Amino acid sequence: MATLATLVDWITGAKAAEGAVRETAMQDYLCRPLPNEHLFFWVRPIDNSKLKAEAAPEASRACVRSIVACLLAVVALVLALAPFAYNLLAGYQIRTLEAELEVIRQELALLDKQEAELSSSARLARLAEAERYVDPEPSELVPLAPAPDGAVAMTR
Amino acid sequence: MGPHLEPHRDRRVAILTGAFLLWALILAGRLVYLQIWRHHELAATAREQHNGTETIPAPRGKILDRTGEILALSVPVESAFVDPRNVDDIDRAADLLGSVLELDAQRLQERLAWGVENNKAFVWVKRKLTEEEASRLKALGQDWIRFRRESRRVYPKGPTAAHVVGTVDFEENGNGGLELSLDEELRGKPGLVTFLRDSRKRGVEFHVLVEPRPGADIRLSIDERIQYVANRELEQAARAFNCPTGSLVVVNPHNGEILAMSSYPPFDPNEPVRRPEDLASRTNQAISVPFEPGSVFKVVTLASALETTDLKPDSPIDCGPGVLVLHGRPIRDIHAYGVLPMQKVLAKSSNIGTIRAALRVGEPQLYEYIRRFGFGERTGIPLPGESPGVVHPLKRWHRTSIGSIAMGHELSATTLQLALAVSAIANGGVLPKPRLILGRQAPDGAYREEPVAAGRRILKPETAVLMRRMMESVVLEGTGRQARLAGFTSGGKTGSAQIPDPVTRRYTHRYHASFVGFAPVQNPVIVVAVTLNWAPRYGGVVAAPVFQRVAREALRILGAVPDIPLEEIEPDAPPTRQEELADVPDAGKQAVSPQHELARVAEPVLAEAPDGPDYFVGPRVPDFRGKPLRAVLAESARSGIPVQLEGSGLARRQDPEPGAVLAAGQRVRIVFAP
Repeated sequence: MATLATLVDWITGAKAAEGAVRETAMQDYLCRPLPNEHLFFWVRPIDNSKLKAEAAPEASRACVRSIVACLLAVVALVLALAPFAYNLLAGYQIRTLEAELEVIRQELALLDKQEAELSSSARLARLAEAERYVDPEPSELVPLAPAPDGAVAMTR
Repeated sequence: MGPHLEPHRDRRVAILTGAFLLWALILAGRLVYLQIWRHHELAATAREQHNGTETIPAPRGKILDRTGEILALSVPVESAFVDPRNVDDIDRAADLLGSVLELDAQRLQERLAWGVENNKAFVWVKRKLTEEEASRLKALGQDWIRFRRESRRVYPKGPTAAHVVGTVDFEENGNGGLELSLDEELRGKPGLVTFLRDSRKRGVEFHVLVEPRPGADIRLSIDERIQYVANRELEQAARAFNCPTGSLVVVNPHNGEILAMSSYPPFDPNEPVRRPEDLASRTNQAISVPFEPGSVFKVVTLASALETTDLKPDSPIDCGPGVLVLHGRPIRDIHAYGVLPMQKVLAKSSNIGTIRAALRVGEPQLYEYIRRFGFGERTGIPLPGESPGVVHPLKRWHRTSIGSIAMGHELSATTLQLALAVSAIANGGVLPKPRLILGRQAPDGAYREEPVAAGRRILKPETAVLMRRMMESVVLEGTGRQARLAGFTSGGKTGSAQIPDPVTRRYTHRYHASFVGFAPVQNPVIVVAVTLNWAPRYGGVVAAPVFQRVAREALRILGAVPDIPLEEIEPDAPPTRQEELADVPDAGKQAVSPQHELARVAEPVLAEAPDGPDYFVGPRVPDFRGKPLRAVLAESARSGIPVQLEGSGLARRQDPEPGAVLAAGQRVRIVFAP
């Protein structure tokens, strides 16, 4: 089984040590050792209750500097990336608006066509005929101009 | 850890380190292979995947009439295509599409099968669908049917001005009329944009490589309302007299603006050409088909006589016993007119009188004047296929050519040439350049007006005025009485040129019936030229009524002020049979006494753009203020501008103000005070 423990064993040679110990134990009729029993952690308790913290203003400043530097770095990164992000969003927006503009243009063209068809003289003439409109007689026309009386340069 | 373990561990660590090194080497090699060896190829692939390039369409410009009515525009339409690889059952798909779009299912199936065999992802089903077809297709709800937006040229006014506007082919390239001659301007130039796209192929960053240049909108001098009337009247007359072809031109004589140009037979530019006969109807008869003008041309002959000889409108011309033998060739009038004043020669369309006047002019000068009037050369109208007509050079004239040419034979002219020639008479002697394009509307909205081309003076103003009065007598008492207008004076000339049969080489009893006239006589607003080919009757009967109806409507639309009292209007009297025959060369005529006193010169303003939305340019009003009655009358008589006088003493006020353009039929009101 390729577990992490076996991988560590394999790398550190613990398996081989285990084999050697097993051979000796069998010979000496000793109990079988546990794997890695020669490795142990020793914890030494330390009593810091009587210690007094020494003033270290340099460390405090260094800490603040580190924090500020990190913040500045983050802000700089954000500022550096902001135009790209803005471009990206603006690009989507431009694309959407262009699509809308194209749709509006197409609708406008269709409306222009309909309007031109509806206002064509041929259609108006058909409507007039259907409504039985008639052209006025010349005598019914009232010209909006000065009366010809008094004109002296006319040859008629 | 015992010392016996060290060699094992070192060896394994070395193996592991070696493995890691090998792995790192493989990675590095792979990187070198990808980043250096295949750099260009992979970079190109990445660019292709991330960067897109699109054409920015440049919509074709509109064509508008002078009032802004749309005569041609492009509208979006949808085209259907399929990816044959996504179609499960090609036979069924072909049947379905064929039934919905009324296509040949067998051919469609073959195309789809070809697409599958050749691994094609795009096969057109039908392009530029109608709205109904598109909605039917969408209602099927099949995801393998895809649509693409395209553009289609439409002509909302149908046949109105179709010969002027022209047509485009399936790809919207102009193939006739202004669509062809202004194709480059109308089409514009598409642009190119490159963009970065995300994983969903949405564009996020754009860079315009080539700026698009949309087609310009073209504003024409054509008035759609007048054009409609012209089409209607020409068609009615052509049908009534069974004429296969005809043409009509309405011109503003002062600046050459073409207000209407109609050609018969008509065609609808929205309909595709289905039969070879359809192509014939697309010929613009007004500019492309010259014909022998016949008696209409007598206007040119007599104008040149007034200019170059001592003949005056009241000069007697001996028309003899009705027959003139010119170098052995007999030329006849319908009647023995005897001695006629020159004015009556035109009114009665006497062949002999006209020839006698031409003989006094002489061949060189007659030829010069024919050319001065613009015959034998293209007018320069921006339409394709214009014919210059035929005017033989002087050295090719025979001994009797002067007789034929004086009557409008042995040469040919287009209806537009005739209209412009009479425009020169109407405007005071300047041959105008035809003006069909008023301006261009750039895509940014800026309107650029087309400058008015200066005409060239071909007649003295006095001659033009005399000719106008002589042509008025044609309408009042000559062959063109059916051209009389209610409320307006009018002048013109009829023409009826017999058409020779090329097989028998004899004249048939069919005519190029024409009428060219203007109204009002003083300061004319319009010139109308009408021609009906292969007419069974004469210009005075066939063409003059068309002039009358078109001119009446055009004057109303243009807002011209009537220049004669409405009470003087008389019902149209059709010309007698004898009067009709007078138009036909080598036929007889009879005389009518002269009536009109000739007026003096009205000097029009030419080669100048009209102010504002005015349709026409008239003479400028002189400054009458401060002058006594006698001086005012003298100035009025000299300039030909009618005045209306009130009071006595010195002229104190006038309306319109000095320098204003006088509209047709308008008078200058002058108030006198001590």
